Amino acid sequence: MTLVVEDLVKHFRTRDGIVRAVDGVSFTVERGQTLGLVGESGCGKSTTARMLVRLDQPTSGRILLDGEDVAFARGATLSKLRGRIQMVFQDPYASLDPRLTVGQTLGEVLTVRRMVDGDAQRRTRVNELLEMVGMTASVAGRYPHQLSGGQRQRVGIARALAVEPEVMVLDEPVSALDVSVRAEVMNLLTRLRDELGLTYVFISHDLGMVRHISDRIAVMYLGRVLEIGGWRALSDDPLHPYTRSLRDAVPVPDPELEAQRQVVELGGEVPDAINPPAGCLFHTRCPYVEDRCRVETPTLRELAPRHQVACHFSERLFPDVLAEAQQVSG
Amino acid sequence: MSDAVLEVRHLQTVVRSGGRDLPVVRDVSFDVRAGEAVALVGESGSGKTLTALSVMGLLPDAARMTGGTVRLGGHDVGALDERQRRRLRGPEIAMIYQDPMTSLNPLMRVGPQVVEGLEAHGVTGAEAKARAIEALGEVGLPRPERLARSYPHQLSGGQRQRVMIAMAVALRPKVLIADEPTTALDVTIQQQVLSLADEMRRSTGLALVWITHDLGVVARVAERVLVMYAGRVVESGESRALFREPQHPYTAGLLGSIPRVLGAERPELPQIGGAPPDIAALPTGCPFHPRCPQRVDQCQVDDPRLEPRGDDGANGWAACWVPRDRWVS
Repeated sequence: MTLVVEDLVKHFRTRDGIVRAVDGVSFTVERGQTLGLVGESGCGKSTTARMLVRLDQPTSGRILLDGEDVAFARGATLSKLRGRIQMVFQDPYASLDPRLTVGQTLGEVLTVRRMVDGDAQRRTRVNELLEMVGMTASVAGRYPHQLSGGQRQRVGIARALAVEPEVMVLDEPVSALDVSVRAEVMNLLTRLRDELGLTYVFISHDLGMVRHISDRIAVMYLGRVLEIGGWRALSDDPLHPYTRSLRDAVPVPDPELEAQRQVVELGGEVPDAINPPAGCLFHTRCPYVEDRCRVETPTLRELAPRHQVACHFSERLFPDVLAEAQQVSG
Repeated sequence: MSDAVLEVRHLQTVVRSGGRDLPVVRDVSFDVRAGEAVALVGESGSGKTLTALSVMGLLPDAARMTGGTVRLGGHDVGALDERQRRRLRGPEIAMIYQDPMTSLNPLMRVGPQVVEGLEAHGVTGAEAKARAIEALGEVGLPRPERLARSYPHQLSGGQRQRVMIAMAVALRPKVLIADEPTTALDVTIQQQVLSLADEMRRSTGLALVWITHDLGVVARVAERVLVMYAGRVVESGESRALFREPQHPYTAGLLGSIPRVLGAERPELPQIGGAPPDIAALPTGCPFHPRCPQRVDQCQVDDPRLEPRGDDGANGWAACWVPRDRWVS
């Protein structure tokens, strides 16, 4: 299973004008791999996620699952798609029906999607699903409010797994959890991916978590991808000024490192998506802006193997980083 | 410690729930000196916010302080009546919150809101207006005169947080308590707010109490740290030492569970297991023992006290029966 997204666009009409939430996003995720999508609020990462599972209808573009375009699938094809791509949401509490027990929630999915035949089979499968996410069968009788945040997210993951999907879109799956339970949910997701051969699109504002789980990472800003490449190059040696600022802005849990850091602080805020800047979308905040950036929009260029950057001046700004990136294959 | 601008001793706070008093803050003590930044770190239910609200004298109706003292700029806050306490909030101590919309009036332009805070403390008329504009400028808001005429909804999240900081610091408090003020912000905006706080601390000697669950933020802002768990301080100390050699298994577990920021290796994340306890059903003994990899029999019965580690607390303080050099790996 390969997931290919080509020139995906989502424009929302509002009273104030057209919001270009996603404005031409392309990427490929190979079977069993994870693409991390990062960016600040309004960058379009969640809208992209919602289009992948067709909670939002794309304005244009293609979403190819093993070559089959499902971007505008309807009826039976759409229903089949929902069996292949599933989403896990940030807030498991909001995404679970408070009136249903865990067993009922999972059982309902199994029945509706015709994954089981009869009560006995359903019960067995519910228990299997709970076991897959590290919980015991006794949890089936509980209601969401009787569970901890980490347990609720496990149920959210089990519900997605119930339809036996090939792709899981994970939208900030650990951001709402207590710090001490995040690691265990991350480990669970990694294990499930490797054991079931799942393909992930992992969306987060937490670069540390994205770095931990992703094979490739795409950085989004105002609806576009500014840089995409291998996890290590993207997190440790990025070639786009925005990716570098983003990385530097994240405080690391090490006071000695923090004291030594020379951080170029990014001023200003993300511009309004109704009136995005001309030229490079990032030019209003870029510490290295030049005249050309204000008029000419940079396209994604492959500066190192499988490492694309949308900046006119990466070569000149970061020659050493680039030389190294060209040696190590993305 | 006579030079402390804020001195908290043996603070106890309970919340009334289901006919019972639940111990949400238990025996919390700390000092903050002028120009110093102290972090209170903890997860949900750790008691960090209720500690702050107790210090501010702003506890919700269901909660009340049942013990301990809070000394602020020479005043024993517990001995004051509400009117006297209100006079301290602003010139002595101020607090900012995660969601600025909870403290900003959505129907009022932001300038008059800053002015209102000043007027409550006797700064009036043209002087109040000038001070308000000045405060909005000091927190890095562009064109403060114009911005003062905006309504909160016309501002971005980062700008609203800056307005809230302006309101808090307009009366030049000696202590600022910041309760997760950057949690809802994007990282580049968080960075701006953290730099602003740091600059105010350095230039005006403002004492900061920074409440957060983010250990990265702690490493960036704080010189000293208190780690809270189930209403108690389980470890405290100087940041560098605490991050390098945590003395409590909970702190060690938290630090260990964060993905590495450098290197080619991505090992499975060491996980703590379990979840923070429900305050209504605390375990016996040490509240962390059900999740603790270092627990011994004693931990299930006796709750350890916060005690100095190293010579005279050279390695900070920890509430754990098992010293670090006897931990199993």
